[in-house]
Amino acid sequence: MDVGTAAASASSHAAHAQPVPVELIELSRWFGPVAALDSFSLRIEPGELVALLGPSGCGKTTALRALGGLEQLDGGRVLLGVVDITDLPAHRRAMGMVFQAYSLFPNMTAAENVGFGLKMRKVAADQRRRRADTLLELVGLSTQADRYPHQLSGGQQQRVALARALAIQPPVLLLDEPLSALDARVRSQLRDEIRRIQLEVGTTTLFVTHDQDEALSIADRVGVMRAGKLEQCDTPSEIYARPTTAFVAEFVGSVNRLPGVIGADHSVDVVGCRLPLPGSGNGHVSGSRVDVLVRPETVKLRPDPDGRGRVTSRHFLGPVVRVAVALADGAEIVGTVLAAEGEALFPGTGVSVELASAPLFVVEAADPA
Amino acid sequence: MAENAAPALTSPGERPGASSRRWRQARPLLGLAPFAIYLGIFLGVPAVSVVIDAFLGSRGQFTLANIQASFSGIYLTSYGASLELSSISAVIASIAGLLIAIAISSSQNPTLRRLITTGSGVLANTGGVPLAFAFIAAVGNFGLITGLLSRVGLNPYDHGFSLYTLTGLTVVYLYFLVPLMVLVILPAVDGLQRQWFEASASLGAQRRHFWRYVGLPVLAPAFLAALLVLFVDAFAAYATADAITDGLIPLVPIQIGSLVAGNVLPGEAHLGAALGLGMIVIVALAATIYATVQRRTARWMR
Amino acid sequence: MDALTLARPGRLPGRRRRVAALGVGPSFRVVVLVLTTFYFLVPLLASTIFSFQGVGGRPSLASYQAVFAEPLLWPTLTLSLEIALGTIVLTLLLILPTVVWVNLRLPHLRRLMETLSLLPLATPAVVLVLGIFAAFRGLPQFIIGTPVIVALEYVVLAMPYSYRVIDAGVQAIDVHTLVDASRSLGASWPQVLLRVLMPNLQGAILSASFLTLALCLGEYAVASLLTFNTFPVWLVQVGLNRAGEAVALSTFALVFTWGLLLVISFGTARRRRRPRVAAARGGQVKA
Repeated sequence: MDVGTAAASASSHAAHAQPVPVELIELSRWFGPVAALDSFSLRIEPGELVALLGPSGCGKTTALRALGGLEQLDGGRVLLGVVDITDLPAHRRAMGMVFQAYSLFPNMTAAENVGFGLKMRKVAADQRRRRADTLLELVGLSTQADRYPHQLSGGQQQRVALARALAIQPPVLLLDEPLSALDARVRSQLRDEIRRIQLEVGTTTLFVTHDQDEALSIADRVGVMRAGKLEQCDTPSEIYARPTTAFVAEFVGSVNRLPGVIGADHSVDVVGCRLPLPGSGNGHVSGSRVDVLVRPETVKLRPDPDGRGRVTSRHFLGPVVRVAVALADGAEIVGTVLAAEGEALFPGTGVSVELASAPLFVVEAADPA
Repeated sequence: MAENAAPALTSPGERPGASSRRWRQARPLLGLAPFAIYLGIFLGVPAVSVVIDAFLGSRGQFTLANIQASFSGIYLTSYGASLELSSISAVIASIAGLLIAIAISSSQNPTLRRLITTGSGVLANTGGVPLAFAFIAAVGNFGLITGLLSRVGLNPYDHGFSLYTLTGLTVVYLYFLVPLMVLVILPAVDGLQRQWFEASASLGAQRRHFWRYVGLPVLAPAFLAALLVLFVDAFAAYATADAITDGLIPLVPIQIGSLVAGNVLPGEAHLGAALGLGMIVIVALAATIYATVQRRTARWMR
Repeated sequence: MDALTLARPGRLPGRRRRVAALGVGPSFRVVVLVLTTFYFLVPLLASTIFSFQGVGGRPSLASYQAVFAEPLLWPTLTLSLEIALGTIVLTLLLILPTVVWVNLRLPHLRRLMETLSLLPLATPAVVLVLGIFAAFRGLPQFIIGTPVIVALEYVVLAMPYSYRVIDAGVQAIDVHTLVDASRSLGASWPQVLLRVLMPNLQGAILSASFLTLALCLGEYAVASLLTFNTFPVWLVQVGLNRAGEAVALSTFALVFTWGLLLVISFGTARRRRRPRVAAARGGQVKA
């Protein structure tokens, strides 16, 4: 199933004129009193793959469907390049869509499915078949061309769905959690292939997922959403290392929330360490109480019988060990250390706790209820 | 081990214990015994008796005379009328029922859907008697609507319509066939995935293209199966026709009914059985087509 | 093939059911439903109005009063209800364990059983009566001469509907897990059936019972040809002479049945949601 060489030859057929940018401007969509989209704005650069990430119900799927023309909008505009397509019905938008599951037409073979969009464009049958074969080769399913969907596995069905979406050479590719219904092994395999194909073909792509690993690993930029709004849209490393809101900091990866106090000179005192405030941590009054968000991998733990903390639990995860430590003042901190360093850290061991770098994020202390 | 218990059941060459394994495999089938026995007695025996009876003469000898008689004269007319009535009403009802099922499946109003499905359940299952009277009251000779229309000068009976004819009966039959169709086809219509429609739209298909290339082809096997169910139901209907026409219209079930109720000449009982055999054959034919169609549907939907 | 993608459509984890267009516009729906309502409501309305008509065309309850004064109303109705009760009990006794057994131990036969359950449709009621006369004439009087035979045959006639409803209900609950769990906790088979399965099948049992009831109250062919004076048989006789009364009673029966079914349907819908949700979540966890 090596699609590399096939992709090289097929991409010349699959590539289209010029990738276009997409602009979603202040989209609003209400379901009763609940806002699925609340003045949501996003720009996707030509050829870019943007992943929309967020908890269930945050509006990411609604945003994608709005772009595809499958959702009525209560406000906002959708631009494809410079063309305003807000009022254009779905069947005229020519966007390739891949759904979570069950989107292949059950009464058609894989090849007929792939050729369907071309049939709607009145392409001749032999040409359709040739293009379908090309695309099925691109996704590594040339031997399954005459199979029906129910004869294909979940992963194979999604590949056909991708081929079908690409067949019409769409300016934009929309992927709505395409891997969520597959099991783990198939998922990671297909994830990389989708990215590889997308890079070959060069289509502007919007990819919706609730899986962080998916989003961070394949996207050019990740847009984190919450309650219909875009919290932050940046490259994966920026999202991870320099979140601009507490929600993003806590949603992506894992994080410790520790009590701290703002000190002088743009610093914050937390678990006995004085750390510089992160770039986003300005505007805090010296002396005010704050919550400090710290990534577990930045917590340095060393066995120390006189140390401030005591190990309460330890989980061996292979390359790393996750250790939970209780501090004197009752706070708990979780650290992730390399396996070699964590060898001596067993429950009950005294440890010294040190925070090496600037914290991830600093936010006003949440008042104890 | 149980092997020693039944050595005689093992054929030479078989591994010892194979017989007890077969016995253990067959045991769960015993659970079906009550069901099978009940069906055998209360369905199988009467059915088989009818079939046998059709070939018996008045002195218990084998004869084809009954069969021949059942295809002549008024009985032949009955077959024609029954087949005509059943097929026409089944076709009309299946199309109407499909449209209604599509309408309620695509609607997001759960109350509407529940109203219609329960209403369909009532109309499809209640016997034809209350139905017949409701129609007599509405469009019978002295029906309310007939009266209203005649006051406007449009008495349907003056224009060739009569409740007491095949056409009239068709109208009444629709009343329980359409709800039955809705009930039977609704699961298949529900099975039309929203994603298929949205995917087709994203590929450039308008509504009519979706229905032509995806929607209707996918529904076709289920539709055909449902059509057959309707046909059989219409063919077998007795109460409605009897209540309205009181045996005036020649239909096969009515003929059988009058032969049974009359029970006049001993030979006539066998004639009734011959007619019954004819009905069974027609229904069995429809059922075989239904089964073949079902198997094809299963292929796609699994 | 991974199990999730072969799961029945609609069970996607976390998928909310949103506004579904399904390829037809609101205008289609409106037209179809208005025409349908018209076609189905008009005769019912007409017969209702008809039943309230008195002499001289003025509204009166005369028909209804006459109906309820009929001496044979209650005996025939009671007879029908007794037969219906017997049929329902027999049906549940026969079909419920069979369906559970098939789903539990013989899943490969499920398709076959479904087809078998439709077998009674192949023998129309009239033919069945023919067969009863031919085959059962020699049976003892307490079976063939009493309504018992009617109930016994109604079980067969109702089977296509009752079997399907109960089968659908059993397939919707995770019968394997329920049985395994309760058996491992020490329940005997009758206890499993009565205390674990039946409460979860309330909706299906109620539906099946109700469909059977409707069938029994409306079945005409078998009852009339076997000369038992059940409710529909008597209704037709009334209709021959006193049309107004027959119409009144018919309308009443139809409307009453529909209302009852609606109430039951709304009631079970609320109850059904709980076991279903648990089963769906259970399915997700397993997968």
